[in-house]
Amino acid sequence: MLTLTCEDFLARISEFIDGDLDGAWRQAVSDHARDCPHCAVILDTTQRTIRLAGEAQLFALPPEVAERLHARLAAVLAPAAVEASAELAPASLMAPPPPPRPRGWLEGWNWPLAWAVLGAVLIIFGGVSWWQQARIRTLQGWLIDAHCAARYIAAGDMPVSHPRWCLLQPACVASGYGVMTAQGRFWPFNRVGSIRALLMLRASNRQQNFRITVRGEERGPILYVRSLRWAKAKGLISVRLRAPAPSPRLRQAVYMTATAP
Amino acid sequence: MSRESAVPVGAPAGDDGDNALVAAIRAGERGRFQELVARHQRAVYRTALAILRSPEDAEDVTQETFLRALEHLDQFRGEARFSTWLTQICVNTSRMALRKRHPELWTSLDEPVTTDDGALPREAVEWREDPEQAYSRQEQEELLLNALAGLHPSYREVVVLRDIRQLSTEETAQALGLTVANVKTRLLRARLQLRDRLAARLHAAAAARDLASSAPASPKDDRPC
Ligand SMILES: [Zn+2]
Repeated sequence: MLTLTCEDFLARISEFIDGDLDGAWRQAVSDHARDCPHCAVILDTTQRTIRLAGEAQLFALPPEVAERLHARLAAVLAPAAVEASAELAPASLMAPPPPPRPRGWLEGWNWPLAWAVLGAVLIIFGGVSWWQQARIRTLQGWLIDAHCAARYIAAGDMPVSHPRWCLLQPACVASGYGVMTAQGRFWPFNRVGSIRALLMLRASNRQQNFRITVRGEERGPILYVRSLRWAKAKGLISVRLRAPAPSPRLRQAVYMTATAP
Repeated sequence: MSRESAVPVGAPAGDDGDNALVAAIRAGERGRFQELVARHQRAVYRTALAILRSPEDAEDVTQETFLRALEHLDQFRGEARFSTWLTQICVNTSRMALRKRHPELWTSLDEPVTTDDGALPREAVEWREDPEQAYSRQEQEELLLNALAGLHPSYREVVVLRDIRQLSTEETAQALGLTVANVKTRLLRARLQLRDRLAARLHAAAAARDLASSAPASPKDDRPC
């Protein structure tokens, strides 16, 4: 009798689903799925993935797309178009060869103007990208929902000991998430950022001190999150700021005194 | 599972009259090309959309595919089914459209990126809800298109032809110019990766739904946690 490892099982899952396996292998694969809950889930969800992909109603051709397709083909297929090109052919053979089209187009080209336009476009593009870059921020602080952040700001406190269960309260989840920096400023995330924060929270088993490093684009009061991860350093030391701070140690000391219970 | 065809390669029988239609068009009844198009337009659009994700690109590629088919109709030899030949044109046209959009992704079409993470699913997340029941057609489409877009194009093509178009393994191999063994290897990885990505997206979609459906903060909730 064949006994499969999970890896063997996965290597044959696709053929198993297609019914391409013969007796012994087929039996071994279904035995493994019966005995291994992990692989049973993979098998079930893979089968459901394939079923979803094959759903005939998906990716239907919209009627207006079909209409445009047939209209375009009709224009190509029309006998008039064929005749017209047939008539043109002999005439063009008699006439001297016309200049190639791209050249005629370039002759009317105003080169100084073209360079000026190109220059302007480059300057505008550079300006826009510089401006965007200037608005990219990397922030460190605590992950907190907007609902509770307001209270910490009012109290002049930091959400260091804000508990996990509160972060996952419906009202807190619904208010969206953001980062509260050591300076006591709260940056709310955009919606996608909030969802990422929620997923990250769920996947983690931390209970408090949800220190994060977040990179995002500042748009008005909102931070459009580009990357989000748990801060590496443990504890309260090493709050890194974007602008070099005059005396981080002093600030830490003040800050820790301020937040001591 | 129903497949579009179980006809072995090289047996143009069961072409549902495609070959006769092609012969008529070649003999001068050009207007009948529209009939041929009407038979295959849904399959071509489906393929292009699943590979390209964007409906606008899919429309362009669909038109381009049929224009090329018309132009090269005399090169169709009838060795493969007409639908397979058309699929081949559609895949090539889609590749060109993808290359134009994302040249950086296309260092090589035939070599999937070596750092492929999809051989073994990292976690077996059970789906909390069946997408076919919990989501509208449009949402299912979006989930699937987004998950597909994350696959390497060479994996995407295989899974699009085999599982979305439901071509046989042989037809898939023929349309992509691969061996059957090659199709099977890619299909295994493609399906597992697709499952992985769909699981992640269902997970995120459920979280987003929680976020949306959670009660908005009311004054009553305004107590310290
Ligand atoms: Zn297992």
